[in-house]
Amino acid sequence: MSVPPGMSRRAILGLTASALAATALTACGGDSGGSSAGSGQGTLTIGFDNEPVSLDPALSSAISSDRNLLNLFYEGLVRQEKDGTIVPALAESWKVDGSALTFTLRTGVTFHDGSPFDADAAAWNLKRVIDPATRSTKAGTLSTIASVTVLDPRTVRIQTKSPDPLLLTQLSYEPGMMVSRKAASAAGKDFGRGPVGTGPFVLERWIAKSQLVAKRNPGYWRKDAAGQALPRLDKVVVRFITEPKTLRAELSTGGVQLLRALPPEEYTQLKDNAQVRLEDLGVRRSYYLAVNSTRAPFDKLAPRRALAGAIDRDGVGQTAASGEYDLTATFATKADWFADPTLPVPAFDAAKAGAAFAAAGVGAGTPLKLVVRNRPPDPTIAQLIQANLRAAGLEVTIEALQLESYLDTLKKGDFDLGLGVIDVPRYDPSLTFDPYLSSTGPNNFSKIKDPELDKVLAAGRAAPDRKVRTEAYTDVQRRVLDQSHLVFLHQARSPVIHRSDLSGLAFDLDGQWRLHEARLGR
Amino acid sequence: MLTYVIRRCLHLIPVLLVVSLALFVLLRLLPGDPSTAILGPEATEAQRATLRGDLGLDQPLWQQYVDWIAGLVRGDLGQSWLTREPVGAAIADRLPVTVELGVTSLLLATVIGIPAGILAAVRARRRTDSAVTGIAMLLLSVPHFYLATLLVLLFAVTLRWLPASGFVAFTEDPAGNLRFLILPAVTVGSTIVAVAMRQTRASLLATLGEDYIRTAEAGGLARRRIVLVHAMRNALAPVTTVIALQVGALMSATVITETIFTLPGMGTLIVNAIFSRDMPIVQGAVLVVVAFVLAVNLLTDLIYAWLDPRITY
Repeated sequence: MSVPPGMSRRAILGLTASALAATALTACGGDSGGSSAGSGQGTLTIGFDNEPVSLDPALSSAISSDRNLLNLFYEGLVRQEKDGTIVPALAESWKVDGSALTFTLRTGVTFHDGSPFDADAAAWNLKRVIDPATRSTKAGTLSTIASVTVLDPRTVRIQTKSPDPLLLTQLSYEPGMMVSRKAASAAGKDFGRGPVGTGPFVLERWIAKSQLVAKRNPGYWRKDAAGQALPRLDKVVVRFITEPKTLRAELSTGGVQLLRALPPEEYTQLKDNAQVRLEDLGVRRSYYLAVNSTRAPFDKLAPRRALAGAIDRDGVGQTAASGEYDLTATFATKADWFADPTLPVPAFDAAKAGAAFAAAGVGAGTPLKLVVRNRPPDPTIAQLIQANLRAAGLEVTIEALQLESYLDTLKKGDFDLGLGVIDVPRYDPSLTFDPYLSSTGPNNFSKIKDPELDKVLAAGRAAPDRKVRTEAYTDVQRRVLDQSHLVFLHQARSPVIHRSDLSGLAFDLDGQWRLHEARLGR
Repeated sequence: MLTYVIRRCLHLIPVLLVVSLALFVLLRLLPGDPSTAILGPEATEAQRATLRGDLGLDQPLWQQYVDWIAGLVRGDLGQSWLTREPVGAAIADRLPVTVELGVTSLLLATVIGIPAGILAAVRARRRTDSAVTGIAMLLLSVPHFYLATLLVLLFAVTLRWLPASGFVAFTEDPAGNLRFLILPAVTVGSTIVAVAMRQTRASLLATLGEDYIRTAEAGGLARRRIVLVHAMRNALAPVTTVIALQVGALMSATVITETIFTLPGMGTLIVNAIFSRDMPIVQGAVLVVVAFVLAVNLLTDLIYAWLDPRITY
């Protein structure tokens, strides 16, 4: 078959070229690097990797990340500053008198739907969280409340069963956020999709797994230091993006101006970008090994102690956190008020650990099952630990699982070692330690039954004085380290990342942002 | 013809029933339930048990299946366990995005793939042919997630011509909509371009060897007319089949591509729902996708009849 070249070829090339030209033309139309909702002067676009299930603060399920968005719409009676002090918010002042806590409320505040914020609204909100019918995930945090009484339209009194030194702190966060009774009653179970509070922004629309748009609340009560109306931004667009590489690309091009979090291997590539700022607020991802104390070999103290010295924490941090990590003795970060710098990080010595295992009767080749979540960088960390323990003579099998199966396996106790991570600091050390160390804690994966530890945990919770609490939490940490209930690994740094023309960010103690004073442009 | 269409439509019912049962059973075999997503990792066992009761997960499996099918018959796909959004509404929001992405990719593939295939066929076994075939091989081999990352790096991060991710509806901003769709469509279309090109080349080469083409050449018809009119009409039928078969593969390609470019389509809907164990959404969305692919197959059979008058139903 012979095909003379010429016309057919030209025709085909012409067709292809016109198709490509059409594509290119469309590509060049419009402004470059824009985001889906447009980035006007006063529009902040955020890349957010962890979309909340519900924006009803009483039903919030994430430990803390939902609060980045809840803070747009809601406020509590009080607020905790970054240094831990409690300052007024919807309450102008308060008085603690034994087991009674009396709040004097701010006047002239209204919810986004126009209904007034007063003592009735405040009391209804607190009762709503406690009411078992609400099924609030936060009910436990307010469980010491015996009654809530409206004394007059500006005054509300909380009576606790016994003095609760943590109550004001809890009320500064989700458990104390005030929602509109009118809107919540009208929406019923769907309220979580249509938040109505007194906060600086009002929900415009929320398309699940895509984006949430909030516009400025023109009636917001708070003013800045110069007496100017807040908030400064006209609009906040939250885009739900889960891919770290996409998040980084969007931040580099200005498609988004603020990110919740990026893994170290991604954010280290942004360090030389002059248009991007990495702000280290002390937030860390603290990795740990849960050690199953209900089965051999780790039901005995000596093998647990040998384990603590068998792991090269620096090696793990260098590889899995691109060198962006701290080594600390426990979940306490270096900046936490209850951190004790004298607590030692167990020294790594493979030979010594091997000998210690042998002396404890854990023979060479003892099989161990290490359970890990199947998402980066956890499997990498598991492999490093596997290599460390092989050097100490143990044979580790790694089982990488999806979150649900992972949690099930840890709770059922079908493992020897479980790799986990928690974001620290939390807004109170009781929230950091109790779930993992208390014998009744929901995440006591190590199955710790240690009355001594329970006693010091309770002391830390109940003490009103920070000095006493510091001592109690030092005892907690000392006890955990002494008993090697958990093996604490590295703490990966998790800075807030934003474009350098974004300023005025404020933060909760645990690093969640508040945008009422945020502004774009220099 | 009409009876054929009706008969084929009726055949869809048992197929969908079997698919629904398989889907339901497979999803229930997944470990874990939505209580982690809804209540968080630190919820107590009592809280989880209450939630399971609320969602009807304490009912026997057959009861849950029957309830679901009964709902389907009434046109009610159920409600998301997580967001309480009606499944039908969630799909109605997402389907247009995926259909738009699919159609754009197919269009791109047809507009580039078929002419490239013709070019390769008329220049068979020469350098142009080798180049086009080589490019096709490369496109077939590059995984979508890799190509997508490269495209973002080049066109979004380095050249800044196109946005890295996101979406805006066509009705809101037609130009913006196209800008957001180009990179995903190129990614998804890459494989189909290659498939369309290879099939066109092979099919056209076979047709060009037929007796009637030689007769046309002997009769002095223009080469262009012979290739584009007489040969192409016959060569197109297998190309149509192959492109139509790609629609199923296309659905799986959109899952990865939509996730990387954060397009709010069926792919991201299904992936996110699986991760959070939001079974009503997964069941509804997958069933719709299956129905869609079956419908496309039916449509392909009908297009045959139009392309080739010898085929009757």
